[in-house]
Amino acid sequence: MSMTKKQFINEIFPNDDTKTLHDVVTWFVEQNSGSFTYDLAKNMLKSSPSGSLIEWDI
Amino acid sequence: MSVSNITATEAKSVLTTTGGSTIRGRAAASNGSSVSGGSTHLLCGYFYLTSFGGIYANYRSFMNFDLSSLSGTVTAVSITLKRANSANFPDLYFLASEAGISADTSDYLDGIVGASSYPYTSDATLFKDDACVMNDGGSAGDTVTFNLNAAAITHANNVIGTGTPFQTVIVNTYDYNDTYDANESSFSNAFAHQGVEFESTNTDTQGAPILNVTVAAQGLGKLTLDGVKIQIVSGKFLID
Repeated sequence: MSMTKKQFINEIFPNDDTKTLHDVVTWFVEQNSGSFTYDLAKNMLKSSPSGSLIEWDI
Repeated sequence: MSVSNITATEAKSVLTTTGGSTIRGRAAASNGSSVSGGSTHLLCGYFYLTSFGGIYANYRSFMNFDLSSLSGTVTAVSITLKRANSANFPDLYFLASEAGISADTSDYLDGIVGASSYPYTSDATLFKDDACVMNDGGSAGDTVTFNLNAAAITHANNVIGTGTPFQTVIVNTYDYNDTYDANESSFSNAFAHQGVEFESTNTDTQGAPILNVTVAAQGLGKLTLDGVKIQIVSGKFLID
């Protein structure tokens, strides 16, 4: 199985080429009103089965 | 008999987002990943998201109460929580805790009295004999009060008047009974915490959990009158 960064971002922002991994993490944090810090959310996404297949540049 | 209403010194959730590849794996982790901060409520459910190949989290909510200003024999203990949402699941359990004043990620398992590995069902001490069923129709702002059991009363008597706080932790039924595997197929997929939430010490000190401590009436005890004059004058009992 392989996945591109674009496919990963598309899980949250389909068909929006302006979005980045940072936007995905920020969106994730916003959905959880303080339950997840930015770093925790990033690590959750990064260590997910899909997130572990892509290169993280943030 | 008197009742003192003690607001929590701290009430926060410890969550874990790592361990295994399932939500049961999160429950079985030894340490938490984070302590909820900011304006976070007490989160008493779970995080279940199948996107990205699966992202899961389990939450345990630790709280402690300072009984150092009280004295006497505790005869009853109840806890009042203020709802922060209208979720009617999952069922909850109150357990004895030893997390300390400020909950830490290392308290995730070790903060439960008796727990050394997962599942801890038979090792933990219940502070309420049965589960708290949350389908009471309540919504945000409503309060719910749970009467705690004899073990909680014993704990209160052990710490009353001391610097050691009364401590308890809320865990959900899937965590406590090790039934995540058996039930996760019925869970909704969501990008946020799912389940009942209460006000914490993060959100509003007026809405934080309250421990209601009932103390037996205390008699005057032995009274020594030394060098005083006792008179009965016009039907009145006087001590000079």
